[in-house]
Amino acid sequence: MSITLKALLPPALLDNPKLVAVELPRALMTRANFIPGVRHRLGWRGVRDCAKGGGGLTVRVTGMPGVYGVEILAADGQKDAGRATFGISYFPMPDEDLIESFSIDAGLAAQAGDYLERVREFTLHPDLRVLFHIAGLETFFTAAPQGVGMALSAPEHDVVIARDGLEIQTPNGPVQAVPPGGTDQDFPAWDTALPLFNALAASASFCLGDSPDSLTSHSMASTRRTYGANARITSQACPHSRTWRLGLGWNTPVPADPHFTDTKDLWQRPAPIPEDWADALWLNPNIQGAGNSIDKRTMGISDKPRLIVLTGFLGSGKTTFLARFIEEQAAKNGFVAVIQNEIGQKGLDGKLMGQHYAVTEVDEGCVCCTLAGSLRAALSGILSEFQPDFVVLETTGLANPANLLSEIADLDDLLEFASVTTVVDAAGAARALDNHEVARSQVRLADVLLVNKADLVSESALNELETRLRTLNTAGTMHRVVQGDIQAAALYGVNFRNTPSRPAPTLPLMGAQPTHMDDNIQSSLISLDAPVDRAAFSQGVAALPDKVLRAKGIVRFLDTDIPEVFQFVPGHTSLTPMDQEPGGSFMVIIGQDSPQVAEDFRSALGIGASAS
Amino acid sequence: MSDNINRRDFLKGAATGVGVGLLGAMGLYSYSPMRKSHFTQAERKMTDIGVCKSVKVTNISETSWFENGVLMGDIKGAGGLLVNQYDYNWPPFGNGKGLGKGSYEEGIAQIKHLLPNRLEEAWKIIEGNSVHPENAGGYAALVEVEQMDGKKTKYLLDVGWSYKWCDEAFKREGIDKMLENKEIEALFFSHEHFDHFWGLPVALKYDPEITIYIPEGFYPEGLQYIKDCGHKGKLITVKNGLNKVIPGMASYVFAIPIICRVYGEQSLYFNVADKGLVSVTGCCHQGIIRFAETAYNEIKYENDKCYGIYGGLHISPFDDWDPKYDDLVISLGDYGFERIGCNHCTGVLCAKKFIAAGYPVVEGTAKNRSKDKAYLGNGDTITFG
Amino acid sequence: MERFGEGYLEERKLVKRWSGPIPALVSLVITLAVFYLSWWIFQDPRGVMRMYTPYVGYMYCRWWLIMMIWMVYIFNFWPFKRKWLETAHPLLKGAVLTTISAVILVALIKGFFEGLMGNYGLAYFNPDQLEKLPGVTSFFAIEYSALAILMFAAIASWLSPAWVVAFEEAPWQKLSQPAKGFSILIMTFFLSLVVYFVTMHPHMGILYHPWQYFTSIAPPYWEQFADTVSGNFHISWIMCCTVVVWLVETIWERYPFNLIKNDWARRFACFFGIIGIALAMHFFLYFAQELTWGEAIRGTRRAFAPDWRWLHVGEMAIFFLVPALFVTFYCDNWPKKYSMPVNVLLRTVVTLIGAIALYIVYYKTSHMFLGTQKGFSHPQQFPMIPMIWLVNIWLVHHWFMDNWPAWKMVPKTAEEIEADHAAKKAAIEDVRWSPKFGVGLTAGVAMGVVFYFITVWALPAVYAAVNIIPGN
Repeated sequence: MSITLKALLPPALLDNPKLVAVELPRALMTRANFIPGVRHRLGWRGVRDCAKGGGGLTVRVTGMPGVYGVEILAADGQKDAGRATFGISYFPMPDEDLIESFSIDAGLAAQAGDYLERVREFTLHPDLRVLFHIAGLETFFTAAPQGVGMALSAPEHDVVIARDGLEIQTPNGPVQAVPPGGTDQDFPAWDTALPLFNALAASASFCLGDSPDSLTSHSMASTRRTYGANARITSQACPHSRTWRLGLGWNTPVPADPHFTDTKDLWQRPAPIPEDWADALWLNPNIQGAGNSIDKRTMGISDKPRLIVLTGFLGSGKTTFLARFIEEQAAKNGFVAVIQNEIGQKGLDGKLMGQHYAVTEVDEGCVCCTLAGSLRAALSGILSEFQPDFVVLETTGLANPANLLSEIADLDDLLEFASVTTVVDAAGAARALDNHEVARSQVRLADVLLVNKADLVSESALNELETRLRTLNTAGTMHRVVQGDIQAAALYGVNFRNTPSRPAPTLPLMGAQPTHMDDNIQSSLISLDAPVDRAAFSQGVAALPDKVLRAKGIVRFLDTDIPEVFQFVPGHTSLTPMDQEPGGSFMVIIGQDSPQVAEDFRSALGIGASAS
Repeated sequence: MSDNINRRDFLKGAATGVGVGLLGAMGLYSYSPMRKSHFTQAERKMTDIGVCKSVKVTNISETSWFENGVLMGDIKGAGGLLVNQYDYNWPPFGNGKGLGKGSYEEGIAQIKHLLPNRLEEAWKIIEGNSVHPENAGGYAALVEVEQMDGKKTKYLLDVGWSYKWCDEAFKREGIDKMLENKEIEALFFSHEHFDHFWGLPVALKYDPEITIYIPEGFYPEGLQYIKDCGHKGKLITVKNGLNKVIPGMASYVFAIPIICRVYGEQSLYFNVADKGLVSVTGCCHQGIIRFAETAYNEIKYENDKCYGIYGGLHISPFDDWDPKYDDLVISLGDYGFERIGCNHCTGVLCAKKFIAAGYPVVEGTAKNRSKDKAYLGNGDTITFG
Repeated sequence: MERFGEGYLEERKLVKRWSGPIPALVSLVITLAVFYLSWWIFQDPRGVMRMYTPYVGYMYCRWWLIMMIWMVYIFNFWPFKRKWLETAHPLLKGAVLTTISAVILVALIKGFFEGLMGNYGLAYFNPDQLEKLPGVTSFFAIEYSALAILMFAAIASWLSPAWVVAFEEAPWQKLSQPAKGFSILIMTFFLSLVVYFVTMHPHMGILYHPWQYFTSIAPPYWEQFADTVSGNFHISWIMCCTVVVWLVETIWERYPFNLIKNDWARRFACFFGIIGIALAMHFFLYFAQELTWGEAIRGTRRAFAPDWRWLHVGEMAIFFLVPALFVTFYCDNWPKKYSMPVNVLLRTVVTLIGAIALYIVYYKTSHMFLGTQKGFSHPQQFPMIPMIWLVNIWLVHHWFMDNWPAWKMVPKTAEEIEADHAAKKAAIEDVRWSPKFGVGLTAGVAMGVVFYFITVWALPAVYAAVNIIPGN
């Protein structure tokens, strides 16, 4: 077999085996973390350098709430082989159950207010390392033939006995926390350290382009430590616990260690892998979809993903449309994050408590998440984990997007708002519009209306429906679709920077008034034939009353030749220069009593009531 | 009796005197500059790199590429961020076989005979063979150090990517003439990345004898490229750690893995008289905090103050176990920089947050295809000292 | 003419009910018990009212101290008649006077600061007004406004007693109450306001961006000198002033300023002497931190930040106040048998040892029972609050309750008062210039300077040996 270390470390470094062994864990973690898709699959949840201590790393791994600390302890090497040992610590979250297994002192340390802050720079705090050390990691490197080995050693149970017991001071007086001769700590070190080792080994297989070819296991009887007030720490044999040392070799076997009495070569390629390891992540060096999500921040890119709010009444075909959309984006190397706002849904098990979102599915072109906490917190988590190009916020069919708009306005530092897309079921829409205010509201606020299932109804019925939709929404673009199948570019324009199009003038239908009566939401158009004064415009916008749900348009200002796209939701305004030639300048206001609002706005701009 | 009185008087005086002397010493000495002699600097190396009078940085180009989307598409299409940068089939190493199927040897073979003097012809060939040549820009900066005696020394930091774009940018800032007149002392490479390093022939066209400093960790292709571009001057590989250049200027090499199979980054430190430390970085992949801490632990600088910073401030990609990217914004405030000129891979959003946080960000003019005034854009300058 | 409580504290004789140190110990136990109970009720973050946020608790703590200074030092217990003071049971007196102090306290903070100043003047005195600013959360609004109000208190708790101790109530010493009280109150309040605006207002301005909205000078003038923009630099020396005022008043018996014969010269010397001594403490305690923990690095957070270091100077200063007051209140200002300078020196040494011991014990143990957090620079660790709270309890006990039950209050007879005055005069007369005194003074100054440098030299090693908080 041959492994490719070149991609991991430069040749100049490979000439120094000791340095390779030292740099290996950091290089593996750093490289594997460049790609969110890979990072996620290999089980990493973030790697961070200790800025101040030098040489330490803090890591989080899937399934473990706490933070691992990895730091170099020793290294040696000759011309053709290098070896390094690292200490692994595990810093549990202050509310994690595992903290109970640690010593009392460790528990107290974890409750201190600056605990997490100190963990970030744990190499500066020897006391933390003493309390939370759980395992050792060894790395091996041979120069000819090039090979890499890694070994994890940790006891099943890391037991510490307090010979004189331990008394702690509580508000209610001293409490005997540990009786004399009792167990202060009984920590499942092996089980805790293994997830980190697995992620590291899987990263090695991925980075080296090959799976390991040997697996060895060494073990010995564990010792337990005893401390007393005036005595040195002593070690005795610890019954019912063994200390394991698991070694994985890529083109070089992990050398034995004289301390470990009991050595077993568990596996050697090409023999079949033992049952216990059959689904180990490190067996497969190929990660599916590795190219499909790129950590933009590693490129120093701060593009904000586009946000599409997808609404539509129950059964209108949102999901079908979304599936098509994702497929199309994946084909273009796009990566979509879908956030389903299934508040109150079952299936959010207890594990999700305290988290803001749960990842339900990751594949080639998308990640699906369920929202459980605040939208903002969930989004910043998802964006930092996956760096999607698009975020689709899929609302339940019964949600009124009006309630979302202001919340979305506050997210403009994370996202670029692209569109409210509403899917309408051609067959069932009429009834929904008659009976449900939510359905009407979804239509009113849409930038893009998709009349889905257009193949199921007659042309005349479609026309009738579209006329009706137009009375509710004069400004949005409308498309007839079948099976939600439509090119994204047709909907959203190139680069998702579709400019609002000037609404077609519609005659108010006779008897159409009742549809507005429920809450009197209408849309009104203001024509802006001449360039306007920027200051007057901002004042007009600032004076828009609260009942305006949405406003958008294309505006030409006196101070620049380039027309600007204007977007407004309550509490938030944006003006972006256009990159294409618009059809004309106008503004649409959606909200209660919009004609009156439009009139006020016109006078604010100093233009007379023109025909709208 | 009188002895007794005398003794009592003496004691009274002494008791009073002890208080007066002690309080006097406390008040006069404790906060005086003299107290500094009591501090042990065991932890800080305080390496003296000398002082310089001022540092002026001219941004030749900070726009490494013009469309993020195009670049991301290329990277994804070629197989992601771990792919060797010489394999993408990007300019100048296009072999005509399409995205992700390039190689250094095949690419350089097409143009080697034209380097470094016939770059227009070379770029024509490159445009025919490469993926998205129009998207390539580059990162390059001119650093002018003024010595205490008034003598000025010029250095280049990086040379950009696209021959065409960089040649334009060099001419716009007059770098071509400076190189021809041998005014530029040396060329420093921050790291081996395409957008910092591949425009090398543009510099060598005007001055093939220029001294080049590269950080340890260049790959064989990179070393070969320096030869193939027709470099005739000295090539110095800077080992990890601190390396003094001239009084008041040093470079520091960090050993870190970077995307697209690049390893190691070199940043520049300047000690400006009466002001403090000025840092000039290419990408700062090591993270701005580690960068500032390193300076603090290694170097002696004026007023013990981090005074200014120029360049890309890579938002650390490893900072996400607590996805608060604002952390960086806040902790940068801890270092009390007085002049910040940021661009390139800082992220416009981040630069805007710095401005919102009230940091002394020196704003640019957003000309020559730089996107935002929050960035110190192409053709803008910043002076420290 | 009714004298109210004028001279009451000097003219009462406190008679021990038992001999030896027992009364002091009994009082200590009782006051500590009351301290802990009241701490739990009002301050403890795990307790009932949980004011220790920490700033809210600190604000009330600090202002309560001033309320008592106002009532006793400035208003001489007005409007309570002398007869009542001398005859009412200490428990009744304590209850009545403490209640009054609490009522004024709430009226002042809620009514004057939050209500009037906060709603009609400076927004940052009122949390509700602060919350209207973008990005200010309710918690921080409350903390910031408490911070502003307590900064005012910090200044007032130095100036109010300083007017009595240093300026000897001049020029109103001849007025009867309440005219005298109001005069001094208005004067010190006005001075506090001036000092507040030049020391603390810029600090409050910095909390907001852009600073200019709040028309404070930013960055403030002390930035370069103090290495920080934070007002903690002033908190530090003002805290030292507060402590030194009490040291001068209690264990130093106003020595050496009382040697000056000319009234106004003495008053000014004392007032500015207090500031001078405070500044010496202020700089030295900062230096001590630099020696033990390393130089402050501007821009870092917490223990290495200059602003926290200055704050900690104030925190260290407060540790001197507690033993000094204990010596005066419960040990009858022991020792008294030598000449005044020697007495003063011995008391100072005792106070110093007590302060260091208290500091070590406090930081080693306080987080175990006060609900505070372990560590020197933890934001939830504010030693000034429990220390001043304890001082407040002692003031109630000593001023309002005549050290009951371990002591019994007996008004002094006219002869005794006369004898006291004569003794005081004699003690001052006893210290006069002579050649030997001059020699002693010179030798003493030299010893003091040598002692200072020995301290500076030994401090790092001594501190390392003590290791108050392992891991810090």
